[in-house]
Amino acid sequence: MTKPLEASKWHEKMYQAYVEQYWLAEENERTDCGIILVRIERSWGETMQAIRAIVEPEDGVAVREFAEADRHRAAFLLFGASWNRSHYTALRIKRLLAKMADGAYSILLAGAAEQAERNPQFFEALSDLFEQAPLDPNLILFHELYQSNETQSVLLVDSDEEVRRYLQLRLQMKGYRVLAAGDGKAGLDLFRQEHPDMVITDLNLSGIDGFHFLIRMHREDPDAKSKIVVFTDNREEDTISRCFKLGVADYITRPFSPVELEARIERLL
Amino acid sequence: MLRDWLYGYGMAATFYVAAVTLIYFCILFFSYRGIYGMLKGETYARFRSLSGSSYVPPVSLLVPAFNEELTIIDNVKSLLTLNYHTYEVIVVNDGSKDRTVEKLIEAFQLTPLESETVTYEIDCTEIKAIYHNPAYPRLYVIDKENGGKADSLNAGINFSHYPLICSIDADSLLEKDALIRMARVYMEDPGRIVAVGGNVRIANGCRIEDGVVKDVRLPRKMWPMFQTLEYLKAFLGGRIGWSHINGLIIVSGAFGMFRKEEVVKVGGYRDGYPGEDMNIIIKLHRYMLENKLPYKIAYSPDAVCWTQAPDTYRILSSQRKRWGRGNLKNMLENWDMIFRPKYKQFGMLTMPYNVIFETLNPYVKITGLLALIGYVAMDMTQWRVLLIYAIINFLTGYLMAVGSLVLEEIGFRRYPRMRDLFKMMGFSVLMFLGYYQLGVLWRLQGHIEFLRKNNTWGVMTRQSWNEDSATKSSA
Repeated sequence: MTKPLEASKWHEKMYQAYVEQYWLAEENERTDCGIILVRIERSWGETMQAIRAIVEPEDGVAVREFAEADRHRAAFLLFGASWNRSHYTALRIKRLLAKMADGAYSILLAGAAEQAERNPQFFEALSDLFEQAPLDPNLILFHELYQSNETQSVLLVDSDEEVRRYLQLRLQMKGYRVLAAGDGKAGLDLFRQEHPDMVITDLNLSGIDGFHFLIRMHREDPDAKSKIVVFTDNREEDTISRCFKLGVADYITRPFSPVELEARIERLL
Repeated sequence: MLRDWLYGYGMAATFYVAAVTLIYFCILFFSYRGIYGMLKGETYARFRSLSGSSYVPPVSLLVPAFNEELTIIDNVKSLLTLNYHTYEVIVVNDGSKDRTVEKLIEAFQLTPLESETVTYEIDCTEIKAIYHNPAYPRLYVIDKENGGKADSLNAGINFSHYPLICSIDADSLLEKDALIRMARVYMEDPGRIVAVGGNVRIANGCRIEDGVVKDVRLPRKMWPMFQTLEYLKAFLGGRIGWSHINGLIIVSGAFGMFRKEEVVKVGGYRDGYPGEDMNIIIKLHRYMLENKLPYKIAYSPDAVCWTQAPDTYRILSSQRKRWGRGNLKNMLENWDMIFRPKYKQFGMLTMPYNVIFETLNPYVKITGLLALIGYVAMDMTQWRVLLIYAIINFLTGYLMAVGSLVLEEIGFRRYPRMRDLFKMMGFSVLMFLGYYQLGVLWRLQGHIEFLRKNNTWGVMTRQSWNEDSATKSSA
């Protein structure tokens, strides 16, 4: 019953709409875009009416709808809606569906990925994934599925936003999943939640003293499952030897060469 | 007869005021030169990179704490995250009557450190115990019997491991870059600099999160607002200039860095009396000059320490009386340095200036007031003359105040909002209507306390940083 041509059209339409909106907007107005996909097996028409009432355009949010009645599925692109707002809308729709569709539905929430305007595959992956999704009363979060594949994760802890953004971009292009934290506390929380494959941290953090941060990670992960790379201004020999005693895998000082940094990361992972 | 006498006094007073104004303006001028030097140096300094360089000497931070249970944890946490490669934080508990030590032990899971013995290079009360936790390698807590602030600093010096020491008040917060900026000044001339002072700013009204000043605002209350302006004037308009001619007489106890060697040689801090921060500097000047050693006492206006200012009349007056007492005591003890060519600019300029225009200031003001009554009573004056005097006095004073505000604006711009600038200008006028006069009164009261042999530290209460910002944001 599947018609691949049609299916591809659905995501192509989404991609097209996204690109149009992207290029129409002024550079500084390009904002987030929330994407909500729903599949409704029962009472399609009525339910869609009710959903439309929920996602009605509000100030600052433009909505595009792509419904395919024959396949009981619809996509809503919420331009200008922050992640929180899209999430809230999705949850409201889910509640509505739980009432009206009696369990025979699935709903997925995604946010447009970085540079989605250059990446038609993003929408393809999205619709493919949704295609495979079973009827499930819970809200499916796309990014959790999308990222849970084999990519290795790197936690970046650095108080300098420029450095953080730059490295994040470079490492993402290399295919790593990058988590970033601006201070020691957030870094430690992320470390506990995500158990990243690698931690790249400065010693000069706010919130927690850098050594203490290393010691805490060392205690919680004595077998060094997460490789730790210290990336800092501190060129003091005592400090360096102390760090290696704390189970650090590598020590890179600034000013740094991004190529060298990447090579060292690759060697460790 | 009385008329002649009054006339003579009037002339003398006029010269006195003219002299003090002239000196103020010279100092302000030097401050401008100093700040331009600083700005230039700053442009080429890479503090981030410098903070990791092994050429920067390690520093021991000394934090004397007496009844600081409300703020000590936040402050220590903030001190542990400075941007500096090697330093240690030594909290010296001065026999607090509250739970200062217990709180520290709880928060950082400290255990007694047996392995280390302290050599008593300077006299201080015996150290009861030293606490440490290897998970916080930079932190040490010294517990000892009550012996005063100076005694605590001495104990900290005895224990410290590094060649530079830095005294910090337990109620103050350092900016992340403060230490490295101070060290940069030290490294410009490490052979000669024996002490570097920091810039103390008032944190009342600012939003503070996790021991970091997040949002700089002017205080809402009147007393801290006056003090903010006073500090700006003293630190920017005054100390930069004095340091320019190597005539600094005080490095604020709240934030100052010293070479340990020299501090030990002059016998450490003096005990049992307030004014220990001025005293150590005078002793350093004396020691270096008497031994004909080249030296410099520098000032680093970009190394910022935020402190809580007293916000009630009672506590403020107590603090100022204490300063008055300390100043008088220091001047009396070092009387011999005044106008002695041997002590160079310190003996010829700084000390006389401090005695004549600071210590004796209240007496001049009061006799001036009496003389004014005399002039009016004996019909020796016209209201026009009085008015002109008053206007000239106000204008020069206001020019000074504005001069330091301009310094702030070109050098730092910590208060970026236009509204704040107008508020500061407005309050600079209001200071002439009561605050300066109160300052004179407090100083005089301090002198009276000194004569009565009142040796105490006076009242000083603390507010928690969090509470402070919470009440401020809800207000």
